[in-house]
Amino acid sequence: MAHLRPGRSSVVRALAFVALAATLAGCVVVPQNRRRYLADPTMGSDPLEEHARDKLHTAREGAAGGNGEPAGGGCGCSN
Amino acid sequence: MTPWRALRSAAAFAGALGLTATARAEDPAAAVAEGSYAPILGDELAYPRLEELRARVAFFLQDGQGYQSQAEPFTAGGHGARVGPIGRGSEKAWVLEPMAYVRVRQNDEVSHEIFAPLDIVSAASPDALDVVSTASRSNESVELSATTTYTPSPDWDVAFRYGLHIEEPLRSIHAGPAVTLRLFENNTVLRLAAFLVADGFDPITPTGFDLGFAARTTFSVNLSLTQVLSPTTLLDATIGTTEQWGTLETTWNSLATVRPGWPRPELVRTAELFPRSRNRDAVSARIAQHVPATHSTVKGSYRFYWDEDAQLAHTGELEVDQYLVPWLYLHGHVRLHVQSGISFFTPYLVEPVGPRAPRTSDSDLERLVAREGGLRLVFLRERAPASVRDTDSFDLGYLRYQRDNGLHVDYVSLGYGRSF
Repeated sequence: MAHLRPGRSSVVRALAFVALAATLAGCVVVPQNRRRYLADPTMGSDPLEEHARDKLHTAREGAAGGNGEPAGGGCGCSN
Repeated sequence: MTPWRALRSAAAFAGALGLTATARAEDPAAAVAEGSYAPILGDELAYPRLEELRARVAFFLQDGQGYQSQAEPFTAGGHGARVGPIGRGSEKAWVLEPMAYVRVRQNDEVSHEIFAPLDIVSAASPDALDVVSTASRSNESVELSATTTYTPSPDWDVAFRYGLHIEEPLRSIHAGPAVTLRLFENNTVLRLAAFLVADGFDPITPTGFDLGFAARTTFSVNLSLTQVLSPTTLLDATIGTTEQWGTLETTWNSLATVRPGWPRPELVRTAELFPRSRNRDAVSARIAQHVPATHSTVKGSYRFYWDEDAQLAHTGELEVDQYLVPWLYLHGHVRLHVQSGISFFTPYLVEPVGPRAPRTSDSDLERLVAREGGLRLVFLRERAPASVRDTDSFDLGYLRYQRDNGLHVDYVSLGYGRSF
């Protein structure tokens, strides 16, 4: 059994994540007046549709979740 | 309640919400009568103000088999084929889920989001409890979740999410803060969120015995990044860790167990058992690319999950949105999820069984591959011809979810959204 306890490795991953964010942030700055395509409805997602699909997955996959929400699924029931 | 009757009730609920909001938004006389000066001073000063409303009705129709189910067991052939002496029981069920979301602005700095889903489930645990009652044949759950966001500056905000979930036989509360930083002219958004869920429930054994009271706690921390990469490219990434404590098993779940005997072995059921704590982690990234030349958007995402019980998973998804006309687009997606089985998964047990040895035969925790594909048609009325133009949108979607260990789901959803 692989024991991947939170601790040093999680801290290292989080720091790597922040470093990646800082690196990407330095790549480009797109001014507000050039972001109309980013505001297109197709670039985002409907929160209720996302919730319904997350529900579908977390109730049926033991390894679901973790996308900004608590990880884990597989409640054993059928909803 | 039949599925059709429940679907009609939910559609009426969603429609009523939309119509009520429309009437309020378009009746300035009523606003003045209520003491608001918005018609004179302008909408930006009218508080509290409804900014967004969404309603959706989703319907899931599930069929398949799992080892943990005692419904119609011992079927032969196909996915019901026996493994050793044991077969998979039915997991047939349907779920109706109407839900609503509103965003209300209290003033320039404070806004509230309220989210309320209602689940009506035909069979929460097919036939497990129905030996002694029919409690699991129809199960309803309701949740109310709110997020209050305080934005003192365009560069950062702080939010607090709180709510409750009521489900037979479970009561749950959740709460957690989040801080968001917007950097480099909003090109980089960093969000750190913590979330605590406390569940209290009536643990019922597979034979219907009531053990009293049990609890479990889930605590998670998530760090997420949204990064503008170009005028048409957006990146989202999240890393999170989740720790759980308490009674983690589904207490009415059971495993088929062979008890050696003479002249023949006896088949009995043993309760599922989980460790008392569990750590679970996930990292995910999604990139979205808009293609102005073809009026389309392509999104690709990947997620990796790992936990301390040796379960690993890879999930990939590809989405394409294609405008057919400026006010109508088609969304298509495919998803592939591959997971290894949890270390203590077994289709059945042979006695003697250790009293505290973790075990489950829940097919959700088995090694599996899940494939999914779906289409959704979205109608944006704000871009429609002037004769029917308004600020709302409608969508209708269908998807098919299929697991290779014998379960599939057909899903239909109807959505409505309106901004004010």
